[in-house]
Amino acid sequence: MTEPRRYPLDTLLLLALGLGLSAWCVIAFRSGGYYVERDVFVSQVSGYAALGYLALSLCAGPFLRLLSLAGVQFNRELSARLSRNAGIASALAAIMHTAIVLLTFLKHDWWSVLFLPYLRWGGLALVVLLVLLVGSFKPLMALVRWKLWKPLFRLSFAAALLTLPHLLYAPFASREITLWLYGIAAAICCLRWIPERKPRPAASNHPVLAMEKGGT
Amino acid sequence: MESQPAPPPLQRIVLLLALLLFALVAIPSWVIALACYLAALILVNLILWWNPAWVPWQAATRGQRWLLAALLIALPGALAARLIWNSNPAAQADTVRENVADRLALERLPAIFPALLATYEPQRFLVYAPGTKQVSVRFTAESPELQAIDLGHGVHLLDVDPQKDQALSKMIGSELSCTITADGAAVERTLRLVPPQPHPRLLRSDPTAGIAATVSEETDELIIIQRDGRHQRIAVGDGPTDCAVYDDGRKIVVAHRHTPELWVIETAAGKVQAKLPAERFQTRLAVSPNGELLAVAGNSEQPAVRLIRLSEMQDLARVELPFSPDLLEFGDDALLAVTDRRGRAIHRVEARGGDWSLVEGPLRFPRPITALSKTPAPQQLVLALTASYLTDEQPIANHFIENTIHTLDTAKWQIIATRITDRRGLFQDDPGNTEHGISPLALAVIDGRQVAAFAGSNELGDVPPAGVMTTYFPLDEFPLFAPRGLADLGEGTMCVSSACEGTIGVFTSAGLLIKLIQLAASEEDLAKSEPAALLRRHGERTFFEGTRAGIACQSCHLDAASDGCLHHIGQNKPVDVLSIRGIAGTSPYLRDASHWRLRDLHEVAQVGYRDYQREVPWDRAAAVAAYMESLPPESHARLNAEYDLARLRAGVAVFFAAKCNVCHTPPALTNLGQHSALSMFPDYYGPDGRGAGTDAFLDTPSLRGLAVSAPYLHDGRAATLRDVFQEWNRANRHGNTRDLTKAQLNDLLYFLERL
Repeated sequence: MTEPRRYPLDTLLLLALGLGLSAWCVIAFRSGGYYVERDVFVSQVSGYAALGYLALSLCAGPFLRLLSLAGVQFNRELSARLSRNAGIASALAAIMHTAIVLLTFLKHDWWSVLFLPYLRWGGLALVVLLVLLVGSFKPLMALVRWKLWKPLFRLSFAAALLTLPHLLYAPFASREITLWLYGIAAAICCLRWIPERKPRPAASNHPVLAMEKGGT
Repeated sequence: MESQPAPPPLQRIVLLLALLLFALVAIPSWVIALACYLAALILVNLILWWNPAWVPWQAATRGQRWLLAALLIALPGALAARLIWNSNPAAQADTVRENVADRLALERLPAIFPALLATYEPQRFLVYAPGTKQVSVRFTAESPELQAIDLGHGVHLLDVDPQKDQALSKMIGSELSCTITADGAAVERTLRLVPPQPHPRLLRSDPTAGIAATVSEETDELIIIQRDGRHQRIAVGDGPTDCAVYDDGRKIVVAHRHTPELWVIETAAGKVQAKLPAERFQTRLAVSPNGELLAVAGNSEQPAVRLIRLSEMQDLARVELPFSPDLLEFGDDALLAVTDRRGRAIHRVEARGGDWSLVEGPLRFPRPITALSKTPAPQQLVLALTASYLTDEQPIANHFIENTIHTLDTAKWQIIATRITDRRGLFQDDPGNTEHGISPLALAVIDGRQVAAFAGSNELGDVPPAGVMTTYFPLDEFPLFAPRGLADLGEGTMCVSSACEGTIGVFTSAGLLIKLIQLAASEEDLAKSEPAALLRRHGERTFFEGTRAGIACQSCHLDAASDGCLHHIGQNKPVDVLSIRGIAGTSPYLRDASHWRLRDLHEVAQVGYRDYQREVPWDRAAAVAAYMESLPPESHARLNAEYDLARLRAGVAVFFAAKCNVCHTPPALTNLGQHSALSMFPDYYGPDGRGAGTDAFLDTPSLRGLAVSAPYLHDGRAATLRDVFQEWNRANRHGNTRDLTKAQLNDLLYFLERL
């Protein structure tokens, strides 16, 4: 008999957060009121969730590195796992956001994605996140015989950059929150260049680490 | 030890390859850059799949490696840099910056709109400070603290008359930092400051007495001009709109927009002789041919024409009108012609059996009348508009403007002659270009001849009774750009006014300058003292100046507002013209949100209308943007009338209950966003709707000045505000208005009409 697989606490927390947000969206949508306002609300919650996960994915590594310099020791595996899981959550939230917007606020007006500038930017960001989502699962990448991994994950920065005009031009997003979030995220991302204090841990079976090693 | 470049890691190969692809594709787009990166990544992976041991230039010699490294870095780097440079990233960044700055200004609470204070006229501000009850605004350190009226839901209304604030009315400069205090917490907000410059517009005269007069609404003064060029400036009430010379030139009567009085001025002494009570928003005056009657067009809440017997200054009649009167002229002593800009018509008010009344059967035109005057012949009037057709159907052809002067026989009540004034010049080599006869904005009888002043082509021209105009008198060598007024001073003299330059020229009828009266500072002085005012002046000139296609901004945006017509300017379909008053800080612009900065609208003239005819040494785009940014929202009677605060509050409550605020967010009453047309009006833009396939998305317009901006919605399909909700919101997605009671809808309309 095989031992049941144990999921780390951070993964479970991310999963719980995602489920909580989904439940919030459903409850808010079913709670009545003017439908346009409800459409806008669920679109905002799902969109901000995707953005928050993406920020976590990009900032987790540098932030933990900063903490390690301050003497708080973390397993490198945690950083990689957090980035990967948050990235996957971001892509899933972005898919949910797109579906919600198209089904509710846009009333199945698929063509508007081509015409409305902020939807165009959002659509591009979604495409990049979908590519990254596929790339996050080793069997899928093995299926397409992809050998060079790391440059693919750099595209998460492109996704973040494409999301910026999406948020700046979107009618219901807050410009102030957006600019603060991007400013803080950019500052944390700059910590990537801080020299690493700890030596690399021994071999890991984690897919992301395996990908990175394989690519370089 | 010999140095040689090591083989670069595969990741860098991907980057370099992407750079090379981007440079080769040569399309300056971030999407293309992303696609190049993905293509490079796929390409390298394909090579690795084909040959897993592949490492670039492993077999190359040292020299070859250096050469390859240099080529891989320098060539694509240089090409991509050039590509990015040519796409003008600074302008692109500025485009984003302006739009984001506008949005941030409205989202940082408490927010105030309009973010502009014109110190020459009363203005209504909205302050949005959710959750607060007490809001006050102080415009300068010396100004009194003005208490805003709480309308509920965080919306506060503030009426400001800068002329009552000494510190404010004397301010110069281009910016003003005001303090908004919301429930005790004070914040600073920056507003554009627009001090007044003299703007002499319509000229009225008595050729026998050799007197002409005009008013400057911005500087509240009457200017009296003598035949020999002498002039005097007399302070009058707030917002003089027109004047009329009577009693053989001995007296002048002045109408006002804001002061509820008609002022009678004694010409010789230059003193106020009498003040007659009147309603606010008197717009135009006319004196009957026998000099006995004065007609006053009033645009108050109930539009009307008031007839006054001049000898006793007593009311003769008051004729209520179902439209807002614009221009006035007597056809004869018993017939008054009144134009209706929104209705694109001219009406008759006639004396029949001693009673003055509005006669049925107006003449309707495709476009509104922009100038109206007497002719040398009795019982005839001339009028100018931008279409030659005698039909009430609007021309919806692409970029349709025909500068035209018609002669109206007031006895037969029909048009008897039509002249298209656009003409080619001697020095044009492109077909279709025009040089003369653009935007006739003033018409007058000079020395027995019919003369027109063309603001677009900056000239005067003799209007023959029939046929083609051939005689022009250019005004380019004088600072009299965009002439707005023209009057006969008798004995072979005339005068011309330029509102944007603040000048009046007195000429012989042969074109010899007798005197140039400069009411405003000269360009040289403005350049030193108020460069922002100079930029605005250049912008105003550009606004009126005609392009080679014979079209000026003024052609559709009459007096910087709207002509109320549908125009096709290369978008998907004809759209109704928006007023450009009060648009500062509401990027993006145009109905299709295609222009993100005001200065980019200059492209419409450059690309769409073959550019301007004259070269100028200043930046036209910046100037026209500065002018448009300086225009406060349109002032109208309902804005200045007494209001019922309880109904206003009820209207705001309905506005929020119907969720209008979701997109028309206070204080600008727009969130500056765009929305899918189909999702907003699924019944209209859906496959079975009348608007199917016409609009992909709608830009949210501001609701300021709504009372004077009919027709409504993007394509003008709603004739009234009530129709917007009752006829055109069946899907209930343009606000939750389906369940509003009649009283609630009335309250909502009451609020909207007072914005």
